[in-house]
Amino acid sequence: MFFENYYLVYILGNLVSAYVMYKFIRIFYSKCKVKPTTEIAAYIGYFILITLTHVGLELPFIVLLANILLLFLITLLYEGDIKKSLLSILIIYFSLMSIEALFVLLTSTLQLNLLVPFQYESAFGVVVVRIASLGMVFAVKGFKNVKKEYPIPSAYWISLLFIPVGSVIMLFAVFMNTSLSRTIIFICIISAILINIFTFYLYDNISALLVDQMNKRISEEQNRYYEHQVEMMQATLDHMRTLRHDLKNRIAPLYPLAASGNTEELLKTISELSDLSEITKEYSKSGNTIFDSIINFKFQNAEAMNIDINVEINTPVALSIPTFDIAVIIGNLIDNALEATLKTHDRWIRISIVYDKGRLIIETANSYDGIIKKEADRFITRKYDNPNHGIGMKSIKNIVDRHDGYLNIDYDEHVFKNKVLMYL
Amino acid sequence: MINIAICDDNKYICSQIETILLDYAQVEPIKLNIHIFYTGESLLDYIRQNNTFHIIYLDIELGQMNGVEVGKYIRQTMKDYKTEIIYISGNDSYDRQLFDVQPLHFIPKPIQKSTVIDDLNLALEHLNISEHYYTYQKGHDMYNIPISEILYFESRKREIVIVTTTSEDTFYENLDVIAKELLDYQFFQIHRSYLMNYKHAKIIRYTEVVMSNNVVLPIGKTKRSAFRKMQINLN
Repeated sequence: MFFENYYLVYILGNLVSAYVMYKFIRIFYSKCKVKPTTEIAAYIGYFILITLTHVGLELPFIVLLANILLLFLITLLYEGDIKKSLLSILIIYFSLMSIEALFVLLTSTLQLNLLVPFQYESAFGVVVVRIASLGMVFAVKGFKNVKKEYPIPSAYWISLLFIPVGSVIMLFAVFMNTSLSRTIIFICIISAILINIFTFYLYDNISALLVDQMNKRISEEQNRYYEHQVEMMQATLDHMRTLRHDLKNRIAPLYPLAASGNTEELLKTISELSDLSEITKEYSKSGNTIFDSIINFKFQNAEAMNIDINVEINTPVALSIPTFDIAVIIGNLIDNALEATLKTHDRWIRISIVYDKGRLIIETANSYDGIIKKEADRFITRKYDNPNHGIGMKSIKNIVDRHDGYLNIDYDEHVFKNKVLMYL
Repeated sequence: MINIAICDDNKYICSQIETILLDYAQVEPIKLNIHIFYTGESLLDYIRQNNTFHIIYLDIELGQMNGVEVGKYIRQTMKDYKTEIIYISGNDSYDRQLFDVQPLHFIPKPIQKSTVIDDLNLALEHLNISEHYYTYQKGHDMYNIPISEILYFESRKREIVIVTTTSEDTFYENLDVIAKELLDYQFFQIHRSYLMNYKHAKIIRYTEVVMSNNVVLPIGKTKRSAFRKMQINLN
């Protein structure tokens, strides 16, 4: 009778465990790659498999391995890399295990050995452990930064990974040693729990720092664009002033020439004048200052670099999207296109900016040498000395996401295409 | 026979476009019937006498009544969304209102032969679709509705409400069945209960679509990101 009761409690306990796992994983991850129903099914699967493993095998070591393996599979359902999966599982699992060990110690005589079946089968204990783990999940729920999808550097990752693993190894060592007093074991378990919670805290803080750093770099980059913007407007104004001034001076000699009837000299001077007006080549004449100034500025040396530029803009003069955001998107897209097309001999860039059905659709296409460098699903620049690897694309993605827009990257051997959709 | 109107206060531009079109009609198997107007008023007068055009090449900076007003009149007052309007423009800066007319394209001056022909072909492609019909049955009667005039279908319990540029009707059908039938015509199921004609979408946002009759349709939560992804492939 007692035996059956125990299993019933145990199964219910595992159900709670699955829920605790769900809560825990949700602390680390915000975006699920699959439908909510599939997600729930995965946890139910976890519950069933873990119950079966336990009932069938009754070997703590196997149960532990099965648990970690299943959890790892579950984390694959969420957006994040493998490093993040491993780290979060170990933190989760070992935190829970330390708690379990603590209660095992408190509720019965401790006789844990990794290779013999469980001897500890107190229904009361099982219940208490589940409640405690639930409590723990709610206690650490406040850590929000670990959700960020920013990949952490390997050195940090290894350090963070080693802490929970180390604490558990030591915990096992303590358990194996039967000569230790209950008080010492108790202190060790409490320490292990604290170590794991602090690791969690560190991980959270490191993630926050990394995200901060990234945002800082992005905003620096964006400011740089804005400064450029101002510079180029000033340059244009200066240029216009010089032209106006020049024009007066150049036209002046025409009067005497015309008056004296020296047609040959007059024609020569006039043709020189028309050269003057072609100094500033305008690629974009949409009337939208922001598009025009960025595009014309970025392409001012294009002709000298032998790049064929084709710009088509059909947009209203006034748009409701912040100037800053547009500047960053277009500026970065053009920079990338220029950088890439310079690596080939057949150099061309096509840009189309179209307003349609309340949306802004920005398309760029350029020739390139066919060599792509990608890192963790994002494209990075091939400027080796640049500490801001891939910041440009990241800035674009950032702004596009903020406006619920979409960025599409497409390429073949010769042509690289970007397409940005923005709702206005 | 394709009816084309060219409306520009500059006679030279009119004859230039006419020549490009007629030259093209000589080498391609299409028959064009071209009318030329020098003012927006004369074009609208002609249309009001029950004449229709398939394509209008319309100057933006016309004399008294400008191209935006003419376009708006055709769309909003006459409820004609079928006629393809191609704007001719001297400068590249466009007023926001211009986009509400949903022009097919803009042709910048000076006129390039290739742009005129490309736009003609694009318009012909659209017109080809506009001759197709959607058929539904109500009681013992069959109804034929030009697909280009359908704004959207709404599913209400077991009934379907079909909303067109001019009318509304209800019949029994399954929205999924209609969606499958209209797969080639850019109809998108943006919501469990709405199947929307992309061509009649005036403003698209992430969460909703404003249709050409100003009805706002919601985009279902689960459909948003897929619909967004699809839009980028359409343009």
